[in-house]
Amino acid sequence: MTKATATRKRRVYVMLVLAGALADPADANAHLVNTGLGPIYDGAAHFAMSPEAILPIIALGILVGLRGLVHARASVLILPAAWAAFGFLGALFGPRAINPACESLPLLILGGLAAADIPMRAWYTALLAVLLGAFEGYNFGAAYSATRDGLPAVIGSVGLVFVLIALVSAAVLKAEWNWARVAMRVVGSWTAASGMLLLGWGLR
Amino acid sequence: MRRMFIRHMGPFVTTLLLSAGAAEAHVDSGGAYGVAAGFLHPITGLDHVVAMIAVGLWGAQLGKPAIWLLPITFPLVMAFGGFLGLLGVPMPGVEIGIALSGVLLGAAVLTETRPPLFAAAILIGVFAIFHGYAHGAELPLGENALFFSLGFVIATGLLHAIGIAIGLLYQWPWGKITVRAAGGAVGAVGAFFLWNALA
Repeated sequence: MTKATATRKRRVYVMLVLAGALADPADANAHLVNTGLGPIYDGAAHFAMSPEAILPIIALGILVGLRGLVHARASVLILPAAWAAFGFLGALFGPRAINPACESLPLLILGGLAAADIPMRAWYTALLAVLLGAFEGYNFGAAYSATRDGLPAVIGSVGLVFVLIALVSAAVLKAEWNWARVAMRVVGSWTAASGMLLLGWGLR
Repeated sequence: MRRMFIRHMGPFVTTLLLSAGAAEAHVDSGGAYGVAAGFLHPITGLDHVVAMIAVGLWGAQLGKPAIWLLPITFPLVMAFGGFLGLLGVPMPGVEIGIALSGVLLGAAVLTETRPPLFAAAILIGVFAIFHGYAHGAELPLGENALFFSLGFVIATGLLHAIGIAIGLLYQWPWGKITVRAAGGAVGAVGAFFLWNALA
């Protein structure tokens, strides 16, 4: 075997090894949580580890809890429904180019309204719940668009969204003492302040 | 023999390097650090600390509704100042404004000044912008913005709460002296920083 033939053989050998290695890449799970318990639990865990999605829901829960039972009931039903619908859309259509500063707007608006404790009609808060569910749900679903488990993961997150909005709004509804309502407004104020700083950070 | 071993090890090592595990890009490992860094930021400057406590003291001294109105509005206005600082909007005399806030708020508590609520709110709002601006301009790059902001705002709110807790002593005669003395101490610290800022 000549030297040239040996070199050619070695190149072919290396190329085959490289092709074999590249043909079987591992999954890229950027930003996702893998519990090992299946996609529904993965979606729930992903939501539980996303403070940027949890905080606006807490702010909405405080707002509707301060406003009363009708507002709270509407939001407890509407928010998970909107989250699910737009989450499925996100999983199907994938991420959209959104300025990161937009993530601060739910915090700013919902926290500000909770802090101000402004009387408003039930359909205003219902509209806010739809908008929040649409925005956060779509973002959540879009994160799973590259995987095959998008829809179950969205369903898993919807369960936690329902539990969270129900618990927060119920706790605030039951706040009978004046100081407890003031404390809830202070939390709203802190949320809005965080949103304001986040907006500045995003625009910097 | 040795050359043959090396020749076969080359493709093997290459295969190992290319068979990388799952990419868990951007796993959030700095969340707790971000909260801690944000939390420490307002409480490591004495000029900020005394002014935040003075807001709580004055709110408690003024009574309802100031006692709860000021802690609700202050973080929002301060965050607006932070927003301006983050964007780099020029604001002259920030350090003087911060030091002046300690002097005036301390003096207000010491002398038991009781202006109309809107006047107190405007005064505190102006000072809140100075404090927020200074923090916003100093916020470090590379932090987790949400966690840092949360820690920062919570620390500020807790400083108000400390001031309110001390201010609640005002309902007793000996507590009035304590609260007024705390106001005097805040004013003295503010005067020290004002001296430094003007020097």
